[in-house]
Amino acid sequence: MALDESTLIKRLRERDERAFRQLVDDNQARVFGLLVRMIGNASEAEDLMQEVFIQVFKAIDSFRGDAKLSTWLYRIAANTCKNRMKYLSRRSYSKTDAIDTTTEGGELASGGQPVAARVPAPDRLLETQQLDAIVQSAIATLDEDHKLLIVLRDMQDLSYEEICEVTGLNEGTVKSRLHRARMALKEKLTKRGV
Amino acid sequence: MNDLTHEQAQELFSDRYEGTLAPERDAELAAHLAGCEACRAEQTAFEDAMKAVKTASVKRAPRPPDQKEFTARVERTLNKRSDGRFFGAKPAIPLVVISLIMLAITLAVYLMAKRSTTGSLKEPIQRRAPGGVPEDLRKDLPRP
Repeated sequence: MALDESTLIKRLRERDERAFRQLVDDNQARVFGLLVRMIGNASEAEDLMQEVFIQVFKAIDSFRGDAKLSTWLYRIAANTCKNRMKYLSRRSYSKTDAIDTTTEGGELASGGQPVAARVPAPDRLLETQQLDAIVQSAIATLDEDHKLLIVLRDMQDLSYEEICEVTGLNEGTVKSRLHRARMALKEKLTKRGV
Repeated sequence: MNDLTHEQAQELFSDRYEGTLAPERDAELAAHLAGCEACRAEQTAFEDAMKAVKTASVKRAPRPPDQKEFTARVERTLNKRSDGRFFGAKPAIPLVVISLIMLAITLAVYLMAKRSTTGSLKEPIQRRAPGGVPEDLRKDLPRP
């Protein structure tokens, strides 16, 4: 039987293995979704997810309970992700699982037709894997804060309240930045023929 | 004729997409879009982009690693980094409390020993010579 949140936190503080497994089971998919969409690489995201859960277990005693446990976990994941992205950018890391076929200008990295030229109408695109690759490619080129907001709101479906807790920003700032992020994404997708 | 500039109209795209735009603002936006082909194209591109993002996120959700395998991996790493001390119940009484109790006991023993007439902490009584001057000081007294 699943533990309720307060019992789960108490058991986590007691270093209970069952509670640990429940926390991973309940949150693994969402945390992985956030990380892989931010980093763009599944194996890198998996390594990072391990670090996120380890940090959560080590820091559980400092969790004050102001937010939901899952939101706090998301916050740790977002911060860990930002740190890793800074580290990777210093190492000029740019590969992704799904996006390495396109570049900023909508052209194929390895030559060939521009994406816009070989992409059919948007409605037909929706059924293809190409769409995901193009969207990921466009998101990957957004700046870090814009990317985080798009992923949290438009891909992970977090509420504004949750996003404020994860990012530490107020709702007005989240909304205005998210709008700018969406407009930037629209520009990039338009260039890619979506 | 309406009062929205192109910029103001485009600022409302997100609110309209989220369905949180107040009806009067929505009407203003609709009026602007009706008369502005450029903003209408921007609005269509915005909606298409949001639709593409939503579709990509729903249909192509990243598949997380095998749950059991991943959990076991995290457990192994935690145990390895903590020399196997991470999991398991914490002591019922925290170390701070144990330390305070030990300190109190030590203090109590010290005070009891100090009060005791037979304890080793009692200062030795100086034997005095019948003349009232200790024997070791007597040699410093001026001789008559």
